[in-house]
Amino acid sequence: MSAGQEKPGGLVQVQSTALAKGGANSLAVRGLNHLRDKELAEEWLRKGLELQTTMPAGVRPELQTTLEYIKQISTGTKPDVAAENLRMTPEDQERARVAHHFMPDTLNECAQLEEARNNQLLEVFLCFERGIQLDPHHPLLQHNIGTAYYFGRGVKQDYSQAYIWFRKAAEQGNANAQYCLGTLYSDGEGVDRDEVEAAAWLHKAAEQGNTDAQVGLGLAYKTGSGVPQDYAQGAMWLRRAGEKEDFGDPTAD
Amino acid sequence: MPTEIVHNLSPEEQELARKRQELAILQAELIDRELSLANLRAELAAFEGRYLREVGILYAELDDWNAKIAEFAAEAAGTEQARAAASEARAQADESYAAAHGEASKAEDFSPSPELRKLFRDVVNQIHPDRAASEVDRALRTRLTAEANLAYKRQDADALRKILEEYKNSPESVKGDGAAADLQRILLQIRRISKRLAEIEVEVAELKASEIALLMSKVAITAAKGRNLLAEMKKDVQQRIDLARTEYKDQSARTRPR
Repeated sequence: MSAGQEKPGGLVQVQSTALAKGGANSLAVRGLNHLRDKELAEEWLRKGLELQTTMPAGVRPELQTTLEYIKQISTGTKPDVAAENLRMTPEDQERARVAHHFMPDTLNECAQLEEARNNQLLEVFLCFERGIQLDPHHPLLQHNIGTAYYFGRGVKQDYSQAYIWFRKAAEQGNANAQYCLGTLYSDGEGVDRDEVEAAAWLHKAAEQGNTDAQVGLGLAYKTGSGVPQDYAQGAMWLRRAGEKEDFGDPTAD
Repeated sequence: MPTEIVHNLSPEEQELARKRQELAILQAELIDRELSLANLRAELAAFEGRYLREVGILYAELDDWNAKIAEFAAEAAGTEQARAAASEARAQADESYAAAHGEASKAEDFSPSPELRKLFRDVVNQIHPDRAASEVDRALRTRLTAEANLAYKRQDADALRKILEEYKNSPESVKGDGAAADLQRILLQIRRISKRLAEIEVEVAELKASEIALLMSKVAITAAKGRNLLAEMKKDVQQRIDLARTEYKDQSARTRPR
């Protein structure tokens, strides 16, 4: 390697140009880091999406769209196709892109996924709180806050608080909350156990078509808990639940 | 059958024939490896050029805005610490600028035609330094090989042909035809080629582990899935530039009316 000192850039003597230039190399390193952050963000967002699917329905639909968009493009769908699939407006798309891009910053603070999960839940809970301040009588928000307290998502688990919020939403006619409230009464969580109250709330929810409540009410009639025992009524509610969902009705025959 | 002739050779002649065969095999392998190394280098250089032109210049621009922001902040704060941060940011911006606009960014796309590949192979095969018969010959071959390599990178077929011509017209191309074949010389050539093969392996490994090669393979892998990573990066960095520019404007607007 000493023979070609006078002649730069040779096949034989001179080392590769790609390794020699510090500046260009450091730009390549930045690019690689950028891509790695992006991959991590995508990974994290995929996890976030999984988490989101376990959330009560209707929570922050725009976040759901953002996550779904990012999931699609990170699995190889072209951005315009993903936007088309999700019927996103250009603003939606831009928001999703920005969220995607700046996720690494958030990510760096979340040393572990568990922490990231908690942060996500906390963020969602804070959104509920902000929402309820703006609209204290919003039944869906009341229901969602109840759910957060019940499962301890983004806030310390507290059945009494869950009862308070489910009750508010249930009184306004939210079927899901009525079902949840009925469950609290029948399990004695956050409120004294009361089969009659439980059955009454399940009834309200069941009449609104809540499948879970129809099942619960059907079983209540069959066992006579909170209502007079009535096999016909029990069978009727279970059948109605089965009409909507593929619920195997054990009393059908 | 050549074997019948071999039987009539003396042990020294047989040894020489074996070594000649060994040398021929090594020479063929050497040319193969030299070519794949040259291709790898040229591909990397071309990709690096493209990366610097498309993404690198945006990083340089981003660094420039960040340096401007830091300089502004240093002026406002007036502390030694802020001044140090500003000059560091400026140095970073200068380095990025030099890299993004330097020689490396001018590399053209590398997609040699099969004819050009074949021509380069022929040229290298004939002028490779490790085939030299003498030290004078070796020096000439070394120079011409270096030129051939550059010509191949430029995808310049005419230059390659001229290089081959130049070698053929030189007195060194006439091999000193010592009637008795020199076993010593062949052994030396074998040793040189083996050494060169090892060097090539080291360099290929280094090149393949380089940051730019990792980036290139990432881009290639995702391109197969229909993604354009370079375009995505461009958009991302542009977004950060826009943010930095806005920050700089806000900063200067806030500070101006004293």
